[in-house]
Amino acid sequence: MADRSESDRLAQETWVQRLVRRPEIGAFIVMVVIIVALAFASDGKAFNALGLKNNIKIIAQYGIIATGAAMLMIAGEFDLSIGSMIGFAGMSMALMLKWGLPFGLGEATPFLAFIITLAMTLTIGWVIGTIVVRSGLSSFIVTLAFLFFLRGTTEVAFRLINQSTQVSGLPDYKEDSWFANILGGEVFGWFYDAWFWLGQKMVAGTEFPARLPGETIDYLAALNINRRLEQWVTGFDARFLWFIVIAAVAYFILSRTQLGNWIYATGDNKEAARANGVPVNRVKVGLFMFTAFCATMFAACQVFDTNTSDAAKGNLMELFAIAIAVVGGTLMTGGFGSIIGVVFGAITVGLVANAVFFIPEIDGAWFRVFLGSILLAAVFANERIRKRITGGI
Amino acid sequence: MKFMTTLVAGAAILTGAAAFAQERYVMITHTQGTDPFWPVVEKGGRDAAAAVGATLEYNFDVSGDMAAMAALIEAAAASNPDGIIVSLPDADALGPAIKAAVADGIPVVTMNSGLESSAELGALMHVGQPERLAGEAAGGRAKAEGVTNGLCLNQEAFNTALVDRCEGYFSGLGGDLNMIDVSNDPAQIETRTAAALQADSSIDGVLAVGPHVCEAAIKAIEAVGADVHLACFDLSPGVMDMIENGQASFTIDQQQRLQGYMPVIVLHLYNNHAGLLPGNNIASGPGFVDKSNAAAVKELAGIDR
Repeated sequence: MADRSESDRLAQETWVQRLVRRPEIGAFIVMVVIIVALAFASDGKAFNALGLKNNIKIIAQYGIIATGAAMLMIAGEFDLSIGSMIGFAGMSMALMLKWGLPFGLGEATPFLAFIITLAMTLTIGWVIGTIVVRSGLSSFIVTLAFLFFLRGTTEVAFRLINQSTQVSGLPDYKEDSWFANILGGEVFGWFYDAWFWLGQKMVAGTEFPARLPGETIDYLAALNINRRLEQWVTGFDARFLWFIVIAAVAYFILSRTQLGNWIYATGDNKEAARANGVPVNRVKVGLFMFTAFCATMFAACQVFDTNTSDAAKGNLMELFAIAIAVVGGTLMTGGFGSIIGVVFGAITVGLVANAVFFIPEIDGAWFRVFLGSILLAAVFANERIRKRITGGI
Repeated sequence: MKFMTTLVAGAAILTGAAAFAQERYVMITHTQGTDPFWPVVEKGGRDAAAAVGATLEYNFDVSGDMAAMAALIEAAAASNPDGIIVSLPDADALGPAIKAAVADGIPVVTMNSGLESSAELGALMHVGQPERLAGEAAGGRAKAEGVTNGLCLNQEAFNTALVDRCEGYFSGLGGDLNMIDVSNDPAQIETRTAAALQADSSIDGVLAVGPHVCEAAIKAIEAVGADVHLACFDLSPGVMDMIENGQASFTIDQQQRLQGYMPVIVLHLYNNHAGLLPGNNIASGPGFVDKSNAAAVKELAGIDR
């Protein structure tokens, strides 16, 4: 790079050149490869009406926590307590819904259960962040401590209050509570309505036998028509909307606001940032609270979707969140990363987590092998791209 | 704890002497006192003791530490009871204490876990659910109810007890093992089950080896719209509702009340009738819970079931 000069900045670039200099390009290419490979290997079933909904369900829940993890990693810190925080939040909401509010304050509505839980998780996030910035200890160790602490608390609370470590058999709150419905219900119904409308046009005038053969069922499934010739899927899971909202807000903050610059500066060089007047500690504590918020949203979407919770909820999710952030091009040492890359990473990892189950010839246990390979490949690709963009720093 | 045990044992000996040679049995389990599973076992043991006119002491260590549990067994043996009933989650840690009790001439029956090392330690017999046999029973019944091509949903693919259930299912049903690792995440249990059902539309039978897996699997089956026979393992309020609604055909119950009840009866017969003993271990499960008994079982859940 010795032949660089000041006049380089005036050089005209084609859109292709600009595109390959985007930090997200590595994650994007990996994502496209996975989508195409999966579509072929599953005979298109992975992207029929239900396949798309189910894939997006997993992508969205991974994406919600990965956005939080990536923001924090850009600021130079880790949160290993995300998975246990999900378990804790799920436990808190389910126990309140089943056994009522704490201190005998009466029945819990879904809204109250969520708000009280969120207040607790945000407080824990604040405590974690404060310990990290005040003590100067590695966030890896502090959040590792909370990984054990929160998982243990979850299990103990289940045993003491509920006897069993699983809450099930709750009523379906989505039917009566608008609040439960916006977290656990369905969204973007128009998308599937339109799909079904198009499907009906495609098969209009076709005569079907009473008992449909397998190929016909597969054909109709791709048109959002079930085997009774009715509309099959009616909407995406609500977490898809929450993923879009959280990712959009995170993108806006990182790329358009002063706070975004503070986050990058904090992760890049903490002392330089502090010298320039960036409130480094407040930025970090705020981001620990943001990951706690993301974990709570993950848990709330699941609890109100399935009306159950158990002590294992969210297990290992912190590692998936970090893996997605890394596949998306976030740098482990901080100061570099993008939300668009994280979205691509979430799509990639979410598909891989589900993909092999669409292919009966492959043992499902392979999915972690694929995930490990993709993680390694993405890190190598992202490292090359980052060096090219930043001029080899 | 040890002091307490000695105290209790001493008191029991005094009352035992007063009641003139009443039989006395000691039951020691590996619960930590909070799991709703074990009170059912304890009540089974107490009911059996009352039925034969014996006394039963029930003991466990809240720490869940195996060394502490071994100390409880040693303390029980020192009080010279007519028999010891013990669950055996770790044969290496508890083995020496059990062997010592057997060497002292105290009859021992193991229950719940520890089938494979029970005889080796000198126990008279074992009362528990052989997981493979339970899976076979589920597979056999699924076959009788019309299943031809099965799928087993396993939330912990590395847990040998759960793999045994899956393997048993396919040996009862006929066909090669078709097991998927669905993870413990309810969202992924649902999407992976749906993916597997779509990938192979000839699947017409699903076994979920845990109650929370069963509750997530029904959502996948209904979403795919497939006509699938669903069988489950173990009890939960959600699974009982599913059976009553006809969404699941049956669930396998390991009937832990028998794990408390039968050992007392076995020891009583052994002590009073010149070593009378069944020729084989007693399988407490598999018991079936289906539409015919779901309501009755639900009523007894946590007490006798």
